[in-house]
Amino acid sequence: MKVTRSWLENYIEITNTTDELCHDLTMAGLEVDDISKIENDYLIDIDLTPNRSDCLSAKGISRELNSINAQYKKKPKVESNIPNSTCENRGLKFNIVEDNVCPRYGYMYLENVSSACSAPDYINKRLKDIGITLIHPIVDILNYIMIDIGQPMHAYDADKINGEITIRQSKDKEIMSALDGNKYKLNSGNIVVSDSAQIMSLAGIIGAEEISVSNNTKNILVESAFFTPNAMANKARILKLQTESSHRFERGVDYNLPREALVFLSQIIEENKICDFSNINFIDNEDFLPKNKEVKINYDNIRNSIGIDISDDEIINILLSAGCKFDEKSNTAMNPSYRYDLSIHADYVEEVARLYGYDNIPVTSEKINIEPSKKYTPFEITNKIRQYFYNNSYSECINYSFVNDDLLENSNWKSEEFKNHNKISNYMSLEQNKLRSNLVSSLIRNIEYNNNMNSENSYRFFEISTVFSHNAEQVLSCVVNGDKHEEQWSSKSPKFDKYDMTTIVEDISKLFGLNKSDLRYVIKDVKSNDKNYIYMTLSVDNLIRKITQNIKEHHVNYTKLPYIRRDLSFVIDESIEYQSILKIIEETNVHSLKKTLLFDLYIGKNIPDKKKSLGIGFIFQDEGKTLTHEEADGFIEQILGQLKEQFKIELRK
Amino acid sequence: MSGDTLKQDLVRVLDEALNSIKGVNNLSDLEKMRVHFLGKKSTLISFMKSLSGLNGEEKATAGKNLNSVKQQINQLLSDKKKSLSKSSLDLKDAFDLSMPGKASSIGSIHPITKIMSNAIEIFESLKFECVEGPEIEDDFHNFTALNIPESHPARAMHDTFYLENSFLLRTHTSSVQVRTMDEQNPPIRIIAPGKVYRKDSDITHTPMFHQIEGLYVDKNVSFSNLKSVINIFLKNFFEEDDLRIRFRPSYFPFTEPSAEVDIEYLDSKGNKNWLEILGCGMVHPNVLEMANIDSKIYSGYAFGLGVERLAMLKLGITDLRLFYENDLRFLKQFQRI
Repeated sequence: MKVTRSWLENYIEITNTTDELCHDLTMAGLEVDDISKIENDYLIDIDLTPNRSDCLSAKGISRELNSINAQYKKKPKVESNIPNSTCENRGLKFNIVEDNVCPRYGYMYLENVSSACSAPDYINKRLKDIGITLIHPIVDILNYIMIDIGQPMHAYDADKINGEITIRQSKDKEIMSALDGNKYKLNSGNIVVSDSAQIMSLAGIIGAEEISVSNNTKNILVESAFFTPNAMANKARILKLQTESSHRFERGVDYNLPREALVFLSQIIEENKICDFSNINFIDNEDFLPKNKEVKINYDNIRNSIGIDISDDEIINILLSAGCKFDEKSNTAMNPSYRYDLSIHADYVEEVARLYGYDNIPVTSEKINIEPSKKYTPFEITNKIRQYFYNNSYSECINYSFVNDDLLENSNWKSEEFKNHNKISNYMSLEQNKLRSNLVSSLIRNIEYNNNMNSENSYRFFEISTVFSHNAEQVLSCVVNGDKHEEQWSSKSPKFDKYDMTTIVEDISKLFGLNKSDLRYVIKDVKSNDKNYIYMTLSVDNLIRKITQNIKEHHVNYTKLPYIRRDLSFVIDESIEYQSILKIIEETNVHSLKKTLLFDLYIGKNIPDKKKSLGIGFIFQDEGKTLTHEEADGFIEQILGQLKEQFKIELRK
Repeated sequence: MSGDTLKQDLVRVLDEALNSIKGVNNLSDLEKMRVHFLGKKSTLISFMKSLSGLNGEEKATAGKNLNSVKQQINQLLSDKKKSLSKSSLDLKDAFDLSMPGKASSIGSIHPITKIMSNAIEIFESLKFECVEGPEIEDDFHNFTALNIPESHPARAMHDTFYLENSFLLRTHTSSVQVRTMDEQNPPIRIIAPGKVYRKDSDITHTPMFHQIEGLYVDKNVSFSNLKSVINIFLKNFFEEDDLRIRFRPSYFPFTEPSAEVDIEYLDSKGNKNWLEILGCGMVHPNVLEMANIDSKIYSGYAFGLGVERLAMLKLGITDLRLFYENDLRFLKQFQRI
């Protein structure tokens, strides 16, 4: 809402600076977005909240300023009578079918409008000052009245109206060519003003081109109606056709304004001898006009919920200054017809707090029980994981949850083919039309982006986020590319391989006292734009579940007797998983076997095709006595015997 | 050649070797010495060849002498080599404090995560408990239960992404309030951090951003308490005891009274300005009632923080989009723990 300082001064006395005035507005909830100087005046741009339709006019803002602070004294209104009409009402018939939408319809005829006539200079200047383009003297005056007192009106070329005027629901697929030059295809949910031949306007939103006022127009029908906010809600938004008029009607226009506006119009016309005008006519259905609501005031509730020490009388005075009526006997307040936002008790609490001044409300600290704060486990867990990656030179990324049809995206986080993405039906761009099912493709894109911008030889990225497939699931992904370390002088960095990801999974399981087998994860490599990436994805939701089931950390006794180590090196089929070898070793149940470690894996020269050579170390230690070498040899024979029984293995020297 | 002359010659060669090898100070010169004294064209080798001209006993003695000298020279060379290698190692061990270290093991945590954890920590210390809710929401929890019916003009304030199955991406973390009030009875004191989505993209808006929602419902909760909590949070978060904070009336369908909170900051020209930092208010009685909480007995406050905005202010970031580019030059600026 734009208005000039001088326009407000039409209604109230302003003795302070424009900055001070604007500060007062802002602190009362009418946030001033911008102040700009124009000639000897100031243009004030107010960002109004949707509940304050009463301030969508110069009069409304002035009224508000007066209730914020009485120093903005109201100027006495010059009393003027309703001027006598100078022409007849044409005998047009109206049929208001939707009187719940339009319980009040006021109109007036203007005759002998000449293209040479003009609106008074002060009107043209005020409109120009706030950036409204002049169109036609009558339309300009109507716009002026809208900004001045808040009533949207519409002017039709009266000579183009055919037959009875109806206010009805639109028919499905009815087309209207609007004043903005666009054609709108309506459905049955819209309200239109139409004559027997055509749609004259989308009620309260915009007029039809065909019947609009032009320089050749001689006679005009002026509409000054009340359309209910409930009926107007969303209508303009659905059509993407928001106008000054729809903006006001959907937020609520005072139902007393249509008459005031027509009276004001006839005064301006008479005063400036613009054209002939008829008397003012109204079609009302009182049943559907908004009712002012009586609310019983609970003083204690107001004091307690705001937290201020204020007397009953002060509360009443605040409500009176806001324009409410107050009945002391019943302690009830009644909202003025322009304040749609005052309807339940909480609204009055807000009104008191607002006019008392939020800055004047004291700060009262809460009484808090002395108990340790509770940490939220899932965040503690993810933060520990982040810390681990941080300590291992990984950088955390955060990406949008949106993706497109990129090939890489056709997999879920388990890298299985995946085609049932959650699609966004009203996406902003094709680049962002689906919800991502994995984090890996985002992270690869991050590396590609960085590779174009930066000179790194090594990329280590991770992200923790929810991905969306059949369910939403929180996962962790890390993606690496290139050397394992940043370039440095000491030694040449090895390249990353998949076992580096295995280490991460093992470390994470250790961080939370779990086994690798408790975790749900995948480790893969992938090629994108000729570059190799290795990644690991792990289900964080699963991890959290496992952790919360996990028993507490506890100590296990260990022996202080010496250990004996024996190593075995053997050749085995390449296809046999290490895990199954470990299982066999475990099944030998050698109690003194305290640790098994893989110290060598070799495939290549001197090893037959499809075979691998493994070197495994065994640490033996007993709780009760010092082991002899013979005993250790016996254990190793036992283990070797089991392995030979299960697998085809060949010892190496 | 007689055995005696040979003996004298050998003493001379050994002397020469002793002196020459002593003076060598690098490995390549030492190699030249080796070639000079023991190589194919060396004097020693020519002596070896001349042995064939001697008779039995003389030959044996001369051979013995020759071998001894050869061994001594070899010893000299290897000793020298050892000492030279040691000194080159010493050079390397001359630790240079100004040298860069080896590859760093420090990565970086995304500034949004850091700021969010920072804020959560403060609220947890103020006894708020953290909760989370789904990012894919239904209309009821995102709008209706928050006093935003279908026809409400406030819906225009939230440009919502809808999924094809009529679900939507939550436009605020206030939806978690609703879910918590459905499940818990007062007193309720929670914060709900997370991602939210709005159909908006320009310098000051990204289609995805992060919020922290706070809610306290109990008996006798007042606007004055809300002011207190917000003051404590902002002063702690910005680590500024004298931070100037103002509350001004605003409008949200789910709170009444509603407020926007501004903080005072100095712009690049050194002028004092107010900057909007969060929205808050007393929970609207309709919201409480919809969650079956008696608004005559209980009242509450709620607030919503934009994490990106907090991060921009605290870290001096001016372009919102940097958060989602994940450029290492950006990420690595925030390596502090």
